[in-house]
Amino acid sequence: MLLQIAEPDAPVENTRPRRLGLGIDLGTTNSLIARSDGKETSLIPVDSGGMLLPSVVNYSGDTPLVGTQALALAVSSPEDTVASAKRFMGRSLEDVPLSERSVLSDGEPLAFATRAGAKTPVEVSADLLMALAQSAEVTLQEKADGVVVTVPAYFDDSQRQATRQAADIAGLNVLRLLNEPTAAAVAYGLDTSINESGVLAVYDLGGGTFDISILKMERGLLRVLATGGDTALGGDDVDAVIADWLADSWSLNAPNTSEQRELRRLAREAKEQLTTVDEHQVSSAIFPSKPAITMTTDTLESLATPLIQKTLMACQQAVDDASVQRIDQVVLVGGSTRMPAVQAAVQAFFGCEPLCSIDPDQVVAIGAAIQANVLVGNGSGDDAVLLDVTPLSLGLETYGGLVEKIIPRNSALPIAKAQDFTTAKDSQTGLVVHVLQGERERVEDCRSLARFELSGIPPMVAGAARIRVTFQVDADGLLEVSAVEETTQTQASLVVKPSFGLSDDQVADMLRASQEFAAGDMTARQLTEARVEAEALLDGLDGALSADADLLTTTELAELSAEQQQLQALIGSDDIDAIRAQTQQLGEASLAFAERRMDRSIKSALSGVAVDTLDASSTD
Amino acid sequence: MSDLFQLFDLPATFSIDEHALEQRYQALIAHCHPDRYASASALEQRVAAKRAADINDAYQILIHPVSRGRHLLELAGVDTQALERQPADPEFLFEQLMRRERVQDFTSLDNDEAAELVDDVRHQYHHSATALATSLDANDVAVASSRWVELNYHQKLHDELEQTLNRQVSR
Repeated sequence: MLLQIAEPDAPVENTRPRRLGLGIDLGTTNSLIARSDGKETSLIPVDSGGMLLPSVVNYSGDTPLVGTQALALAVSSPEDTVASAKRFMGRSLEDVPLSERSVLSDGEPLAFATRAGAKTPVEVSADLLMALAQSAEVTLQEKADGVVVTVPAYFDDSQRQATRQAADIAGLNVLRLLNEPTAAAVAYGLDTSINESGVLAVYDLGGGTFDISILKMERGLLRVLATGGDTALGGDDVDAVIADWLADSWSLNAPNTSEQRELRRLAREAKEQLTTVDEHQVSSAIFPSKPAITMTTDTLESLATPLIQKTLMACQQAVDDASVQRIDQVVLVGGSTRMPAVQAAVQAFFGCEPLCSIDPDQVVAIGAAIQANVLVGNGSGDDAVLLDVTPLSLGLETYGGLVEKIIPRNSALPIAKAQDFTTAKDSQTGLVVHVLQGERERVEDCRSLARFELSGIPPMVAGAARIRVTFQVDADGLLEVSAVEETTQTQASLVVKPSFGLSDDQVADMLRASQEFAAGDMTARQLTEARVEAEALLDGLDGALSADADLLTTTELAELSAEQQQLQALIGSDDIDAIRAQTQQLGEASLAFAERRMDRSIKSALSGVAVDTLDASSTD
Repeated sequence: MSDLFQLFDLPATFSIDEHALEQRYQALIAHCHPDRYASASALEQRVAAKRAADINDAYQILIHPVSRGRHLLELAGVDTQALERQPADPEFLFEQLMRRERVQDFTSLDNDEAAELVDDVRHQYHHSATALATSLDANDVAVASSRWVELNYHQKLHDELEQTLNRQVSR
């Protein structure tokens, strides 16, 4: 056997064939998929040649139709056509305004009523993801090894869980859920300009949402300092203001539905025209008696200013949260940033000319593809690390309906925090752990993520029990909560799944149901996955042993080798359970070794900095 | 309670070299971040994620004076949760209340009054931080505990005022 000598800092020289990682921007209006080889990044054609797949699915036939095909059917069978599913991800019925409930079926989980039955937003998103992945497979003649899916930075835990589930159902291996602003920064290569340190703002104004993030780049680390925005503010609101202004100018009283639709269309057209010309004539065959109105960029600016000001207030909040003195660069994302008035306001506010050389509709998918290529294993080892943060505080319900924050918003991920609680009454044997997300102090003003019970606490006097609740948020922003009564080690834990989400069983059923995986395929897939995982562990251990065997005693080394050989012997068999069990056993046996190696590598990483620090201070 | 300063190979003192902490944090988190191990085995991913979480947590605690002080007091065996529940000195509370009102009415102050308030709040904040550092260095846990409680109040007011100032500048 050939020994690989691996330094922890420089990941193993890539002897494996290149792997394929794809970036997906799963958008409210349009979705995109892109690939990168580390040098060049391009969008992959979807939806019969275009680069944008309208995020619309039609369920009138035997198989779902997506994109333009679905959009075409929206007029003839609107009740079977689902659009903007992203806005409903991770939501429950009561979160949805009454005016929008007509498309939904009764009851939970929240779902769209179609002729093919109730379709949850997760299923609709899964159909979109599957269509994107299939287009990519046809174009590239290759299946993706992994994907990076982007989510808005403000997405809360349940919205992220829902996105993750959709990708699972679509049969995709998710390398990472990446925040959209971070992806945009990566697209501009701002993560790799490591010699330049600086502070960066990503201003993302889409159709229905506004998102602002402040990031700092330094020494190979792109770090989100603060994020904020308004989930109910976007280009659509600008259209509405223009439409109202047109109605006023034409003295239209209470326009009917079709007149309203026409006003909206005229408004959107005027807005788009005025990004390239200074003047635009508005007239319509629907309103033949009304004179043409001249709209100028100034008219548009005065109409849009109040909305743009609202975005700048959110920008100020984010700048405050980030505690930064100045912004060095601004990236524009989202179609609505094409408006000259927006660009001018952003430039004036941040004091620098915004970057907009990459199409603001494509920039997120491009960044996701670049990161997917790195994460799938084609990286060079010195790629920047993207450090994301929690968009909202996470906490627990305590006495009196108040929320105790455990993890404050804008905490760098991954993070784990524990807090101790005790019982309020004598002989209390159970404790309800109610997990909440939000900034407000009272339970009813925050979003309830989950509720679970720690039971079986032995009767004690009030205040004697020591209940440690631990919150863990991983790099994708997904939360796991556990509770332990420490004096007796009574345990309860769960991965926070929103009560209106899908259970693991439901996800597994859908996975099985999707034609992609017939029963035989499913077993084959599981076997392949088990072998890949076993091989990864064995390979990693080989490298680890050749580099750091001195961290083990002779006995430990012998035990580990024995477990290693057992797994090696099993790997060629078809026994999925045995391979999994032995992988698990070898993993446990080598956990302490892996920790010691990590500590050693941390020491070496530190000693490098310590020298740097000395150098820096001696030249000052 | 383990000494979080050790993670960054820094001495456990209240006065720290923020630049060194920042640099060491950046090096460590870049080293341990799960993305570095995205194509490694599940075991290595788990170990890295755990360390990355520890490092993020420790950095947050050490970079902020109030939580750094809390950590040092806890290392010295002080129950800081109990400390927070104790009522503060009434005279001190009253003074803080007066300052707080002035901070909230900041926009109605004339230039001289505003400048005076800014000086006062900043001075009190730095003064209490220095006092905490001195008592911690002298291992005077009882005095350090009171200074830490005061720093808590001064920090909140200081943050509030700085935010108000930021907003004025940007207008």
